[in-house]
Amino acid sequence: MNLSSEDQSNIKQYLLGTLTEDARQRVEERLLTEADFFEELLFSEDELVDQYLNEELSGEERGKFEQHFLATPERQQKLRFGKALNRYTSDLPEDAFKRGVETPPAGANWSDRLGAFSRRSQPWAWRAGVALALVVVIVGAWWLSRPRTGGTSPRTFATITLQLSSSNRAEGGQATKVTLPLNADALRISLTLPAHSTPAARYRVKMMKSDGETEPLAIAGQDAQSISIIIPAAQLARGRFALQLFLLGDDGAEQRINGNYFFTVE
Amino acid sequence: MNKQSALTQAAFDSLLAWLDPDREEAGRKYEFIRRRLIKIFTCRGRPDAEELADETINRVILKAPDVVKEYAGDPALYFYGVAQKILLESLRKRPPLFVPPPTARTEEIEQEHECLERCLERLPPGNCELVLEYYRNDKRAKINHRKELAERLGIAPNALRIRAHRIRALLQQCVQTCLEREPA
Repeated sequence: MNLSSEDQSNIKQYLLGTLTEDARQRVEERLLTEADFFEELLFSEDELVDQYLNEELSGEERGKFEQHFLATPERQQKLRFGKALNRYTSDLPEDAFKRGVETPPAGANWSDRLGAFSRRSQPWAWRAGVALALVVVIVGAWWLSRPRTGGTSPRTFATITLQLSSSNRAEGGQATKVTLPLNADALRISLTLPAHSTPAARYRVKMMKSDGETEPLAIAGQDAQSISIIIPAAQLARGRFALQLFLLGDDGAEQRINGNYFFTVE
Repeated sequence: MNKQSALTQAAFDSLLAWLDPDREEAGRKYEFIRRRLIKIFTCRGRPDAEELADETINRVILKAPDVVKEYAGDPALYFYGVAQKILLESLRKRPPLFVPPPTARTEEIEQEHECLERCLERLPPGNCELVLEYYRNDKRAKINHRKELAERLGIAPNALRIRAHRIRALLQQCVQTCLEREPA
């Protein structure tokens, strides 16, 4: 497979939904007739997910990724898998990779394989020490990074109610404060809807973190005056957050509700 | 076999004959086209991509006996023309609705981790290390690291990219199956 950088750029734009209709048609025709081109698209999907997770996309691209690329459950699964793989590789100690790829014997399990990285031509005692240290690091990293709550749905909630602020920045006392530890399984946030909202309207919520990273949040409940979202305590990190509300039209179009709901976690 | 299914079988046979005189090869081409149609509908934001691809194929099957006589060119492009019509119809009937991905629960994250570990263990020797090295989360040195890895394995960087992605696809499939079997 040896596609030009222009082809690769077209595929990326196609995946983000930013191509013109003519260009999109050309890409789709090639997808149906060229095996290499189709395979490149599959690779580009995974690479786009990684670029999103590693914050390598521009602000505009991130927006397109969230609104267009993530529109189907299949793509959302890709994102979920990408996150899991990222977490897994981040948890592995740096040492695990230093010796490079060595082919372990058939039937070896993953811990044998990991061991294969560091057991070439070392004195026995040194190797044992390295193996022990590796186990301690892996177990320690896993223990520190594993979420603290149990394996059940949240039962207790800390609740805050946020009002829509027309400002784009949380200033002074505008942002509601949440203090950690939460002393509850999850934080329930009730977002007061703007006046004159239609009771049957559908919304989506996006959370912006202070570093610019965004995350869609599932809506847990809705009534005529408010919608509520739930964030498990284990996923709460300290920082400033802005929640943005989008009104979903029957034609699939989205309209951003002006303003933000601010809160800080301390 | 009733008349309708007999007709459909005849139409399906004529579709396969149109795709390739060799029936096995025709079957492969049929799958090739179906898979790509699903991907195109997915890329257009349709959560019902598989359904729409099958609807496209059904419509082509019904027309196949006549189309075969008149149409010149790659049959895949004929499917594409029908797919575009199906897409327009479906947009009128069911506009796309953006459903944000649900935030993963703690127990789901733990389950994913376990499934991933299990699936890594099942990979053929060498593939586990390759995929973990290729995807290690090291933004700064990623390009150089992958280049070194390709050199160590004695393959071109693009060949490494292809290998890593194919292993990743298998891994994702395995994790998905594992999660479906043992939901959190």
